[in-house]
Amino acid sequence: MNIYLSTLVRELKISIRNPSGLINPLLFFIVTISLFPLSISPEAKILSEIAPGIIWVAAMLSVLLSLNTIFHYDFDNGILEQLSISHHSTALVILIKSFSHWILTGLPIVLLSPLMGLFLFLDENSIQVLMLTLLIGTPSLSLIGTIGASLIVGIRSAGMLLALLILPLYIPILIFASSAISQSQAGFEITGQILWLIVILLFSLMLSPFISAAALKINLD
Amino acid sequence: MPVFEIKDLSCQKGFNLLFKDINFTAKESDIVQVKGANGKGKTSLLRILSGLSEPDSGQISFNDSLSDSDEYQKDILYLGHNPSISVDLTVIENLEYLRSLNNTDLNLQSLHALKKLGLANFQNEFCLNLSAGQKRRVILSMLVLSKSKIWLLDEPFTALDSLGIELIESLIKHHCDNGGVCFFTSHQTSSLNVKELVL
Repeated sequence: MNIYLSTLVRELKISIRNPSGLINPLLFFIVTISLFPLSISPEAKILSEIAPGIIWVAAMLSVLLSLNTIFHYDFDNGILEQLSISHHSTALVILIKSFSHWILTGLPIVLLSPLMGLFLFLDENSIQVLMLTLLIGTPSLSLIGTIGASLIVGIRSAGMLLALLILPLYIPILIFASSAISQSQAGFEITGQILWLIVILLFSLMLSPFISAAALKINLD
Repeated sequence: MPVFEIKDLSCQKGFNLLFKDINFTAKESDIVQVKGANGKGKTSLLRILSGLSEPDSGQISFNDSLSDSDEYQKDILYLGHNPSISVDLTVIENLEYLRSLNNTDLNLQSLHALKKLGLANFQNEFCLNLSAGQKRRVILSMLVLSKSKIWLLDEPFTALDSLGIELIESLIKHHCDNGGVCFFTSHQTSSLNVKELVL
């Protein structure tokens, strides 16, 4: 089988056989959002105003929680060494790993988001915008997160360091996405924010696999 | 005409100079045992030869291809200390993935390699349930399938029983009799006719 397809199948198999890694970030996403109505106010007006920020922050943090798993096991068991010295492109294999991370973390968040939107009294139009921003934004979170994961791969318990490295890079996505939802709630045009999210996605697609491959090479030396 | 050439190779880890200005040549069919006390740099040397680590100075070439070229990488099979298998995958799934990463003979079935290594009955077993020796045999199955000309084996006999050691030695001999080159590290005395590289 082709290396890229077999990497995708391998990643999905390992994750499905270890469902805790798959379920924990999703549970975190649901639990965090469901605590806000209890702690702030159950009123629809207040909740629908803060909903975009809440859902996006929860999505960002749950992706962050799962980043450690992208390379950690393969670094420990030596698969990354085999990948690094193989004649295949490390960057492309990393791109596949980011994609499978998105399928396992980002995509379930996108699919769960309408339910979370309803929970926080978002109207139908805003829920559609929320899903659109998550659909374009979460792949960037996985791609940028891969850079962080490859930088800290050799360090034990580096969760905080990973957050410090990655969160500043997530901020533009957070700002554009939550602003798109708020603007659409107020009835304004959101093309600008969506285009910016696409630009960030394209940049992440082009750069992150190569940066991650270089970082892994340094860590394997 | 030497096919594999190490020129003025030096390696330092931290403040520790592991080896300096190593010069070595190996021809087709040479079996090279890298020897040295613990901490002398045997693993570091094999990692440099595989292209995983950069040397502090010197260069390595195989048939005039330098170690950072694609041609060189295609000719390398490196089996290190790490098991290179995932415990959540079955034996056959792990072997198939290792095959897709390396340059292997597509005419040979993975099951053929597992049979040879005595793992035929375990092909659908999760690697989590295997013993240390059996896990080692999963990655050593690559020796049956590999088409790479240079084998770099770091302690290949670890965790193997005496029959397993004999089998690996016969695979190394078969590879080198067919024009391959093999570098391996081991503290055991080998029954193979080896050329020594002492660090």
